[in-house]
Amino acid sequence: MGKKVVEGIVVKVTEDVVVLLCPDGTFKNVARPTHEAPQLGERYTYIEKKTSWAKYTTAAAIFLLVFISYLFLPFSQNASAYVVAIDINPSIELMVNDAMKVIDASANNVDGEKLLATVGTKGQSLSVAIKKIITYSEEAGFFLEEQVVTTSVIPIKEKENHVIEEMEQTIKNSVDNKKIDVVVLQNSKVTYEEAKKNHLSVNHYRFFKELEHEGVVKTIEEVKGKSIAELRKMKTGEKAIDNAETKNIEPKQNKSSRSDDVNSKQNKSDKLDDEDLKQNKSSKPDDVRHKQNKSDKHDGVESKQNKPSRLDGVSPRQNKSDKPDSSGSSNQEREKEKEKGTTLSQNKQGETQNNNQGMRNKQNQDKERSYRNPAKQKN
Amino acid sequence: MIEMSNTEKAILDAQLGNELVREQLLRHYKPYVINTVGHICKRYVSWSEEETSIGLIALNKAIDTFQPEKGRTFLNYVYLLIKRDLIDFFRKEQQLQFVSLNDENEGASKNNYEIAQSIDQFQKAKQTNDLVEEILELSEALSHYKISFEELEKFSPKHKDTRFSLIEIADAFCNDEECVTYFLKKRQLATTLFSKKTGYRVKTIERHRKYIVTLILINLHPQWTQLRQFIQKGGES
Repeated sequence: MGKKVVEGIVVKVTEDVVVLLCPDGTFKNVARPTHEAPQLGERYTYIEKKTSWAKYTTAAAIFLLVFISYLFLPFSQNASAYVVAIDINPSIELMVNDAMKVIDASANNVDGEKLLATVGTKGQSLSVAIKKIITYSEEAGFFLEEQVVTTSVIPIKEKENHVIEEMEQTIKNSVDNKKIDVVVLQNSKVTYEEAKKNHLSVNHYRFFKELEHEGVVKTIEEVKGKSIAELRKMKTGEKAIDNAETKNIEPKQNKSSRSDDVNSKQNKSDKLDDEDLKQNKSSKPDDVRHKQNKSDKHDGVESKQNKPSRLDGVSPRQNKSDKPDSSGSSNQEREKEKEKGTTLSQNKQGETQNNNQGMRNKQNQDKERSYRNPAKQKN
Repeated sequence: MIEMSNTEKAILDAQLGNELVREQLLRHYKPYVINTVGHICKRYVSWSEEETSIGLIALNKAIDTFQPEKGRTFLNYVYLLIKRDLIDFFRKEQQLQFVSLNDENEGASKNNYEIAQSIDQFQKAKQTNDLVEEILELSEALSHYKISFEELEKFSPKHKDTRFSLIEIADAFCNDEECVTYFLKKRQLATTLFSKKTGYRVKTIERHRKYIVTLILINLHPQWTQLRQFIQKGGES
């Protein structure tokens, strides 16, 4: 595109144009320079600027840009920015984009599939989707065992802490039922991918990691097929026992009155029983059964245990789980009772100072035993 | 030179009090005034602006005070008066936005160059003045046919061949007396009559109608030597 040069004599000047009479006898209108007005009869040279086609180029460029951006916009919208993994018992994953809209949802277990089949979550905002999921779960009775919703937020693109915090807030706010506990975990993309590899939900995987770290479980197989609530119990059960011991034993140690000690033991044993019941209702640890035979002298204690008033000092959570047991499984309780009795007697034999420590060790052993058994059975 | 003496005569007439001639002169030089004012103001001015009125008053004064024996052409004199009056006007107005600091600096730096150029310009002036006179006359003649310069681009030929043929048409038209008298009398281009006589296509004539009118006008005024040059030169090149 060569520059166009127009040369001629100024014949007229108007507001917009200068009319030139060119040497070939034709007339040409050329743009008038802004701060100049050429005189009549003046020889005038006009060099056509490139603006004429630059204008078209810019217009074309803008059009192209818009076109391209329209091409790519849907892709960027579809790209999920976060994954929200929700485990009640139904285990589902919600793909959420930057605008906090659910783009896609997938289930990790049968309950989750049912849930997604009934609850349409696509295209809704995160809070609405979570509300729906939780109301459905309530109606379907997934909260009977434990009223905990475990969620994980996994940023896929990049980590923006404030966004994640916001999401946590939305998740927590969207659960209006005060009875339901919401736990929000943060997980990295790496964890998410590892979980995918192992065909587990992120929350499961996370719990597995923790349990593995604490030595409760060894392989992923042990975790598979269990609900989060069960996993939680495996984890928290341990902690709760620790707490119970420190709470109940320490102050009463000083008194060292036997009946009190037994009481505290009872509470603990109730709890253990409870867990035993849940996890392996059918099987009982053999060694416990053995002990049962040995200890006949604790009958008096057992009779006490069945009275509800005895359970006063127990934490409400334990209390809840105790109630069904106290009516049904007196036999098992007795076993425990006996077990405790033996431990107690053992401890009594040992030094009183180390008593607490020894108790705890013993307790842990018991618990481990009780956890391992069901797992073994399954395998 | 003939028409130069004509303007001089007309000016002398006007100076003696012939209002009609004065009016004609004023009308004739109006385009020049607006152009000059615009040139001095370095922007486009319309008739509704103060500057153009000052230019017109200056023109009127120039008609009154023009003395041909002093060796100046009338156009030069008009230009001088308009410029002087405008400068006075700007000083009086003290328009800051017009005489801005930048402008003054520019003027100062340009000054030497302008002085050097002004000598050149004066030598050119004589030529240019004739040309300007011719342009003014042409524009007046065209206005009778309701043609303005800015429209002519549309009717100008784009190709050499068309241009040549158009010049040919204009020549042929001027040779036909009947057509010319009709043209001058009615101020219309008798297309059908002409095409019947000469066999040129009506379509071609219609397409370049206004350009052909311009060519005919230039042909009919042999005194416009400078303008004729353009046409003939165009024909040759």
